[in-house]
Amino acid sequence: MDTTQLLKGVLDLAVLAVLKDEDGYGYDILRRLRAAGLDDVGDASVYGTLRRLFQAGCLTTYVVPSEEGPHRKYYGLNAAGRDQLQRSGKVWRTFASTMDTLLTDRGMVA
Amino acid sequence: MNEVADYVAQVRTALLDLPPDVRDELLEDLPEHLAEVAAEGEGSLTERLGPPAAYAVELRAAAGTPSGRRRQTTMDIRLRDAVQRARARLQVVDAKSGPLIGYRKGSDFIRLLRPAWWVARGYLVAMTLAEMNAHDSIGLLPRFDIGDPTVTGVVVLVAFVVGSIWLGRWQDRLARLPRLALVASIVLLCLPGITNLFGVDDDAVGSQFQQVSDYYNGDLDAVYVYDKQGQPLRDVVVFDENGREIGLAWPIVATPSPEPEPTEGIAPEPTESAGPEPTDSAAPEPTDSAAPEPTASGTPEPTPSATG
Repeated sequence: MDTTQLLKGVLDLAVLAVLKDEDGYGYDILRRLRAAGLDDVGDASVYGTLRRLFQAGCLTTYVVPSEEGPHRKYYGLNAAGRDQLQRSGKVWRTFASTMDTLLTDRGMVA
Repeated sequence: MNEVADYVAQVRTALLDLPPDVRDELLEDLPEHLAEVAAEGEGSLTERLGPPAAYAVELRAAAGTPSGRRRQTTMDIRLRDAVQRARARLQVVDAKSGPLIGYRKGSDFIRLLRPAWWVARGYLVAMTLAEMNAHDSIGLLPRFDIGDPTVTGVVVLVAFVVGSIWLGRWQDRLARLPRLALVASIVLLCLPGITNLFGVDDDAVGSQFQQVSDYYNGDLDAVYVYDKQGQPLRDVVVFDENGREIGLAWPIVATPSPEPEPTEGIAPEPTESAGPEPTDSAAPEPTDSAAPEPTASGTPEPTPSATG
């Protein structure tokens, strides 16, 4: 199964999750996702997701001037974002454990 | 950062089918974002992120923008497709026409003709300027009313042709848009010059004689001049409204005459019954009342040589 297909559905959740404890800028968020094991995430996907979440009112942004290199636009969760993360996280957990059980019952292991 | 701007521009092009506000919103932060990306690692953006078109596809999917709009052609897309189709067709014509004249492509040959066009446009623009300046036809040289018009014409012609050649070599350095504007205005300036060429050609084909006979529906072959008594007038010169002699009058005095040939430029002074009467019996009988009616049944045929 193509991971990119799965990612489409959960990228929102993944981005919200990596921003839960610490704000980050675009490329930093991509690095966090890859460090968490989501190697197939593309930069355009992260940028597009950030745009969409921001449009949906889940994120706050602010610009941090940089000594060397360009200014960085940081993204952080606002109240709506945290709420969204809670609900989506629950949905995913339930869904994932359902799938897990389904597969374990039939003797399939990761 | 030039690379970033270039990359963003190509992504934007790939998203042209989106409504402008959606597209702008989507691309709003992309320059800053890509600048961050570029600052954080090695290699060009294309190496690290893939081609801009692929980036646009991924962005479109991630941002939840409907990609099905691609077939819903907007005006932008339709125009772009039409231009691409026309360009492809032109390239086919270009490739096929070349071998006909012994070149790889038709445009290869046309490119060789560029200096010829520079010379031609120099002439045509000079003619346009001369024509705007002139009151009536100026012939084939750009004549101006300064000194000897013909000399001025040659000097102006040479100056414009040289200037046009110089401009032709220089205009390649211009950017695309200014160059197109320049060529378009030159072509516009050539149009009156081309019109003048047609006018000169028209004058060369039409002759005075035909124009005179046109007044008579083209039936005029000869002119016979009689006085009130019905006596043929000899040694008569006929003038038109401009004081120019009408050549048609010549053959009728071509009958044997002791008098010298009429000199040019003299107003006609018909002399009464001068010289011997033509013995030709075919001359019309004079009537009491009025001048002869050549168009009536008794058409005079004085001499077989009386041709126009």
